[in-house]
Amino acid sequence: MHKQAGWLRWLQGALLLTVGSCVDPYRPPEIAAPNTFLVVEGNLNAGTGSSTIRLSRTQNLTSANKPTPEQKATIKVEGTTYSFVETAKGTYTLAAATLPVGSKFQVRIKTGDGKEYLSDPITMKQTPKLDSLTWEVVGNGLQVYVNTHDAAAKTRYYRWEYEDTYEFYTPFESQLEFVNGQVVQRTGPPINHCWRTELSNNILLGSTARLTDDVLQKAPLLFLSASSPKLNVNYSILVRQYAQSAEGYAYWQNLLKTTEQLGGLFDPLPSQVGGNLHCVTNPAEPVLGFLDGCTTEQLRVFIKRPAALSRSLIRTGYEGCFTDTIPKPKQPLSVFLGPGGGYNAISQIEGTSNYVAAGIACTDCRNIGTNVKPSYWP
Amino acid sequence: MTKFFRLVAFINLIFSHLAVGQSTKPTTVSGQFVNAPFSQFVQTIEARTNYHFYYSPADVDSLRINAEATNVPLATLLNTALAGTPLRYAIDTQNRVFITTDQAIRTELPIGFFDRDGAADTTTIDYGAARTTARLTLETKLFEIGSRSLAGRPGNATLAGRIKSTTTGEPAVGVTVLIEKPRIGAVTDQYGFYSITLPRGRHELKIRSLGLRDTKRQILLFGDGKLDMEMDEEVVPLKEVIVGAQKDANVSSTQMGAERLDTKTIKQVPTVLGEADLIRVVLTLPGVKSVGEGTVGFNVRGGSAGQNLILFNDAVIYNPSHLFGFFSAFNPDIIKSVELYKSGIPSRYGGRLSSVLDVSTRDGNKKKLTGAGGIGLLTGRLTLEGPLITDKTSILVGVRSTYSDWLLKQLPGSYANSRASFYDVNLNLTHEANDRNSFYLSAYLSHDQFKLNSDSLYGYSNQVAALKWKHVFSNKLYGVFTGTYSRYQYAVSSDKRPAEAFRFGFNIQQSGLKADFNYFPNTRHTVDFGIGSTRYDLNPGSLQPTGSTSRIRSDVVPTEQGLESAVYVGDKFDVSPRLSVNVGLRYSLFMNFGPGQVYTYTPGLPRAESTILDTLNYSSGSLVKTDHGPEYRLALRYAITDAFSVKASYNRMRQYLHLISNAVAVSPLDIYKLSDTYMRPQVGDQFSLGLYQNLRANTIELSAEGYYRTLQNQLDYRGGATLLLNHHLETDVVRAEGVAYGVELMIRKMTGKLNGWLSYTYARSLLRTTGETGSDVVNGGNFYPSSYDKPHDVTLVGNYKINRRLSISFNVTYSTGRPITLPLAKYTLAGAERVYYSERNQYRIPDYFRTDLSMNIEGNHKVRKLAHSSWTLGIYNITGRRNAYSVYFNSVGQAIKGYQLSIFGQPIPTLTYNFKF
Repeated sequence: MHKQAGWLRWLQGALLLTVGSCVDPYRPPEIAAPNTFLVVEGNLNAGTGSSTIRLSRTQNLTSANKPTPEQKATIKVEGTTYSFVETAKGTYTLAAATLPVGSKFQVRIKTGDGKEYLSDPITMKQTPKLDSLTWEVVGNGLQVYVNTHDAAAKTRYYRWEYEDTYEFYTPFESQLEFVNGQVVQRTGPPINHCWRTELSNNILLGSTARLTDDVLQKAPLLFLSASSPKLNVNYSILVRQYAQSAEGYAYWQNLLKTTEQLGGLFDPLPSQVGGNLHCVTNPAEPVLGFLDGCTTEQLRVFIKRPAALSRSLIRTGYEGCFTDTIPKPKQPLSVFLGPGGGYNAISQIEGTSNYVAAGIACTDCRNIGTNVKPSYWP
Repeated sequence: MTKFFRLVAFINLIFSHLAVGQSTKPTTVSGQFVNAPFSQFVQTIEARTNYHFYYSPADVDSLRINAEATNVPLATLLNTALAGTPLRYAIDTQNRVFITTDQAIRTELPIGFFDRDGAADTTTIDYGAARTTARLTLETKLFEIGSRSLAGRPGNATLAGRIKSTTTGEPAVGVTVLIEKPRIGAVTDQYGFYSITLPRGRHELKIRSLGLRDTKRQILLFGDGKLDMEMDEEVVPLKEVIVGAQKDANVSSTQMGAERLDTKTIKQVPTVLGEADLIRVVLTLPGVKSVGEGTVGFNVRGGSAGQNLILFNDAVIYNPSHLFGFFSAFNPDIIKSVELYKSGIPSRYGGRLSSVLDVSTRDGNKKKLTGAGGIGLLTGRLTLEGPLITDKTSILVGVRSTYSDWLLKQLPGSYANSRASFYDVNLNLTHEANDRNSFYLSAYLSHDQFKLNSDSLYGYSNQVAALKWKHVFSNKLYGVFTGTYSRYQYAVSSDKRPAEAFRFGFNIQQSGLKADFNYFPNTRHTVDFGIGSTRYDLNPGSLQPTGSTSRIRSDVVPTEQGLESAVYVGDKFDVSPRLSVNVGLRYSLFMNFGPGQVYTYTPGLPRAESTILDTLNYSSGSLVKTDHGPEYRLALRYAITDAFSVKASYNRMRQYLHLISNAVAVSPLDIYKLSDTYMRPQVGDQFSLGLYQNLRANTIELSAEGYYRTLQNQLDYRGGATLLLNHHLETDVVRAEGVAYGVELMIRKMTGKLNGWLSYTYARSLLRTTGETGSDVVNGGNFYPSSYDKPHDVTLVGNYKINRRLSISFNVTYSTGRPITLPLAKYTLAGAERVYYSERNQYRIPDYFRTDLSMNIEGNHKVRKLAHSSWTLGIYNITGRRNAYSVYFNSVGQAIKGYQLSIFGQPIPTLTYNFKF
């Protein structure tokens, strides 16, 4: 039996080629030139409502910094009086504007260094309603699907973004607080009960171009692993749907292909993905990003863990938590509970001046979430 | 003496056009005949001697004899008397004279006529000795060719015939037949046929070939005639020293940029999964590269993978690979030889820009039933061959299959849902109706199916058939009439999600007819000419729903039809013994015809769906587009010394069928496209120059070849192009022009205990888009390296025979990494980091290096054995270097990480058992 297993492993290594085992990390030679190209992300909101565009700059691959926002730019919608206002670093908002469905607009961006960028004409599209979100257990997890349709069969191309929120508790509750060298009863809302919200970080696309009708049924949106802490207490997902132009869909598809789907034997070559913006002052300078225009539809649902997914699979991330008794000999309480001490007191051990304590990460959930209950939470 | 007579008779049996049985007892005659009727002549002789004449009066009624003789042998008198007539004579030991027309009768029975069963070859030594004796007598015997009556006449005569293998009766291909003074040579074609025009007179004809024992014939050439020969194979003679043969084709032939491989060479190069692989061996030759392991598509001298014409017995093979390219489509047991033309491509080939890989299979043993096979880790194969009618008709059947499906099922975990299997079948029938007519039928079928942890099932298949009729019109002219049929198809299907269950299919088929002629007018010219036409039918893609619940909208790209025709003529002209020229012209014509649709686009704007102006519909059979043009072929050789020559060549090729693939390798999802209104025919020109030197009695070959190529109407793709199910492919491709140049150096030793070759190649392959606007321009319209541009390449292939039963082969290969488009910067979009890529192909993946080793162990060499077997033990990639097949970057969470994918990243041991009976 042992022998066979070895033989099989050998065979596996020797013959079966495509999967995993022969993939090594590759660090490309330093690509020195500091490439800082303008990156444009956002959407024109069709109809009435606010639109947001974020501007940033590209960075070298080796750079460990966060992307630099592009500040002090002016963004205007050509042919109108609408002008975006910088509401946060690199985030520009057009508060209230009417961009009727079916009309075309161009966006002009002027950056602080005096360069001008212009988008191709953008046609405002009507986004159909999100019919429903459904889910089912698939293997060791839960697959969430989007269902939508356009009776007029005009949309054809869809893109989604989501933000999901889950409720969770730390394994220990700290009811005591260390204030001015004294252990006192904690006040305010409990810090062991939180909500964490995450934004989608991949490109989610759907198309009915190859279908007879403009109906998307069970388009895969995301997969929640059974081990994920999300499906523990309560979970909610908000999905935003955008109708895309064919060019916009092609852009995202292309971006998806070159940044999320490469590496197999038969995959296409990566390519420079060009958006629908151009630099007017220096036509050779690339501009990244694609601006599309449509109305926004959104839908929120709550998902409870189905019985089919065993709770024993859950990994909360708190598996390493333990309690300790403080203080220790020759180490005063402040060493543990003071700034940088890393502990929160849980309770006093009766009849002593000792406390049961645990690490901050095991008692305070605010490091990864917020203890303010979202307004939509039941 | 008797033995000698028997030998003469034996020779007569084989060489039917032989003129005279001459060695009679010299009983002299005298006489004077002036315009004498033949009957009077006979009466006179019979009266004066004890000879008796036997003849048919009808043969001689118009004959008048004018001759004078004084005490000369009768034979001499008859030679004079019958000169210029169709009459022949034969004189037997009892002084009987037989007069016949055209052919002298035999006066002795053939050798071995009475003791056929007694041929003793019970021991190897006796067997070898018998062979040697037979060979030596043939080599020293003087063959008279043509009518003796032409003796003394000046000028040239043509000798033609066929050369076969003594053991199997199969034609011997690529055998050089030559005389030294003056230096005139000819090479047998794929049918074993040669034709050589020589000055009349006595010559020593040398016959040389790889893998066959060199031999020679003494000939006395009176006039045109025929000489068939048999050559012994270089079987493993246990106690014999093989004398190094003079293989000087490298220097003496006008052909340059061509490589010929025989099965022996193919089988001794170590391969990845233990099975001899033709394409892998081709890849070790200078100027041939692949984009990576596990791909069968190859690139010749900077051309794309779709620019190679792969012929299998004259029929085109579209996908020469099995199992994602880990095996080549050719069963090694049935291959006779492979020829690869990189430059100086003969005018009889056309239709692809870069190279011709001409694979021919064996005819099958015409003498007895034999078989061969092998069992490896993944595949098993079996070949059977034998005569249907001894010496006339033979059949060869080869089958190969995998048991990888079964193996995958044994594997734990994720492989359980995987499937991968293939098989191929070959059938060859050869029939030699008579001396002048031979027929060849070959059929080939391959099928592949795989599913690797994905829900899609891929399948593809090649179907190929060729029927040939070879007709010898005369010694100087023969023709081959060929009909071919090839079909390649693939399909991808998935039924994992019933609502979107689909089947995507593609197929291309071509049927062709052609006539090729070889004409040998005189010593200095060898002419070939021909005409041919091929019809293409493409189904470029169809998507169909499967199952009743599928909501997939069926989408069928309209079919394409085309007819490619060509005429060609070529002449090899020996201007002087030193200078030889090969000129050729091919004219090709391509017609794309309906039914079909052609879109017209707004002039001045890049072609895109949004710029479509109009749709033109073409009815069935109406012409959509015609393209045609000449293709020039020129090659010349100047021999500075017998062992050193200079060669130069120029050729132009045109290609009407385009491979559409935006992956780097030939994958089953590539499609083909015919030239049409927008896809212009590809045109390529190549200039090359080479120096060739042979050392140490031609045992070591040195060569240096340089080339410069220009390529027009090349295809590259816009970023993120959609190639499948595209009804207007012209919107996703960009037109480019290419240049390629390089130098190939090679040193080769083909004989001795240690043999093999070492080659170095420097080569560049660049492209430049010719479009004017926006997305038609890649890299700002400047030259950029093509995906298969690998400047440096060093290959060492060797074989060392330790003893008769044990040999070691090795293969060392180094090449520059292929070009890649690298990420230059990162940015955040849609919640994740993205990469911004460089201009196309501006960087390279790490260099490639690999060493393979294999050991071949033969069983004992007893002649009488049920089966001969051998074991091949090998290690592929012995250093375990993780050669990058590709380098890619993925965004994982918030980070961008680079990966390199290596396919054979560790040493891979192989074991194969081969047998032959």
